Amino acid sequence: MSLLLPHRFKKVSRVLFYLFFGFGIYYMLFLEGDPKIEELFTFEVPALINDEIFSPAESGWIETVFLDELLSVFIIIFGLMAGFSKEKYEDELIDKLRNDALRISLFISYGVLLLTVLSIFGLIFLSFLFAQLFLILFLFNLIFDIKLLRHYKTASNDE
Amino acid sequence: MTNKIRVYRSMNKISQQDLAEKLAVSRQTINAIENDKYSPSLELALKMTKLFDCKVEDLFSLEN
Repeated sequence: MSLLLPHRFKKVSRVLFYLFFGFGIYYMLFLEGDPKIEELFTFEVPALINDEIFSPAESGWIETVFLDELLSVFIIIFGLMAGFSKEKYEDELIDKLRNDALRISLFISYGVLLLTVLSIFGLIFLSFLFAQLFLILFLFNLIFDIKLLRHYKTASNDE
Repeated sequence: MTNKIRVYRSMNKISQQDLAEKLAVSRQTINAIENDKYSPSLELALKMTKLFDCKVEDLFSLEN
């Protein structure tokens, strides 16, 4: 059973993934807390659990800056689509490259997480943890794309 | 693992592209197998032996 999407999703999702990932980093570093952005993207949304400091957890409609949630959704959806869409000629070697990329990105991500757990303390730890939610998806796509590039490049000069 | 796919391909006068199409893989995959950069699955290896009408050990061998 193939769990891959059709090839037609590949190009557009790859472009959108890197675009939203780049914008997500820019947002985290430079735009978070900007009053204009907050005003533009503040919506009332349903919350299953809303846990504010000094008040008990509750559910219901809350008002929040929704841009980081939107970016997270786009990064996750387009990241998965880019990594798990078929290549034009999808075969067992491409499958191996994809599995290798996934394995390497898993090891690196958890290596970074180990370092984070052992060396980052205080509230900033949560920011590192949030950023690392997307690290595995980013590394997987990056390593897979590099492997594909090398695969197509090295195999283009033989007959 | 080494293989003699290039030899059998030239004996049968088949290009990498033709072989790839017959086996439903990409030309790059055939190239990677011929250059010992990738060992094919058992299924693909058996398809090759059927196509070239030879035994598996004629086409593939283990390096020491």
